[in-house]
Amino acid sequence: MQLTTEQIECINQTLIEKGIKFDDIKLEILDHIASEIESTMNLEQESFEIVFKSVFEKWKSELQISSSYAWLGAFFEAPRFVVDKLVTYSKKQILIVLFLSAVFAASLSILGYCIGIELFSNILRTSLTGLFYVMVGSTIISLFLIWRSSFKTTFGRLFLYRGWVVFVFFFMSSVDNEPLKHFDSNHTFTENFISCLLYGCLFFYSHCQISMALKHFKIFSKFKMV
Amino acid sequence: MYGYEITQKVKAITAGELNITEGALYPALHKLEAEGILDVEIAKVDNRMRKYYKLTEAGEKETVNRLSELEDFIRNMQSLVNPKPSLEF
Repeated sequence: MQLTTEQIECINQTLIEKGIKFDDIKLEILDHIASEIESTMNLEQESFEIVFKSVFEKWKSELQISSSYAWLGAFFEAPRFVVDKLVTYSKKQILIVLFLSAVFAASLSILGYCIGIELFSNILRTSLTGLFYVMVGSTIISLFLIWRSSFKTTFGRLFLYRGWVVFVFFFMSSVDNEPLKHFDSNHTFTENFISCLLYGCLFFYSHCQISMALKHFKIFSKFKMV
Repeated sequence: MYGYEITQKVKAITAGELNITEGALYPALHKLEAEGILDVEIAKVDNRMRKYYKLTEAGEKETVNRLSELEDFIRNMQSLVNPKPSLEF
């Protein structure tokens, strides 16, 4: 038995009330619940209302609001599905940032000594500042587009929650070139490595925020194609 | 395959012995998608949207590797539990 558009809308509204507001998650939970209701209605020959209640009762624990203070902050609350997805994503992001920063720091410290650290650090500062300007511009545009859009995704939500970090990191890296100002021949290899590592963390974390916005737009374009 | 189909297929293949809960299924699917093992397609079916998951090329290779690792693990465990009698004294 196929559910009517009104019955699908009823499931949709219930999910929204329970906090599943993000289209990327909502569409598969809605389809799962609708398929389960259809299958149970066919098997047990029960009405939609009765099966609807029993299926949502079964999903109760999965739809409970939870949070993860350590990974998403104290103010981020959502059903467990959403929190789990974003915690997994955040953990992966941190690992990528740490790995790329370490590679970046090691490569620059070695190259700096081979080419000549003064000339190298000037080129480096200019190009990284230029890239940071591009990232700040992309963040402003993405924040505006995602905030205005009626299409909500988990990645878009996390970007709206964390995207401002790019401005703070840009400020930290621009004001007197804070982390990289110790990158010169007056400092030891270890000191230069740490300077580059700190700058790498700011740079790659900001880059990860942009890629989160890109994920939102990618999901949006997949939806638009249907 | 889509989420509900996966749970039903697993139940049918294992004659109900393995029951994947929704709370375990979707986090696992999202993790595999993030790792690039699964690819996602969205289609309109009946009067709603449906998300189909399929293995990527890398996912197929990974499946072969993990199954082979599992077979090795089971073989090692079996030889630990039932060691072959040695002829040497």
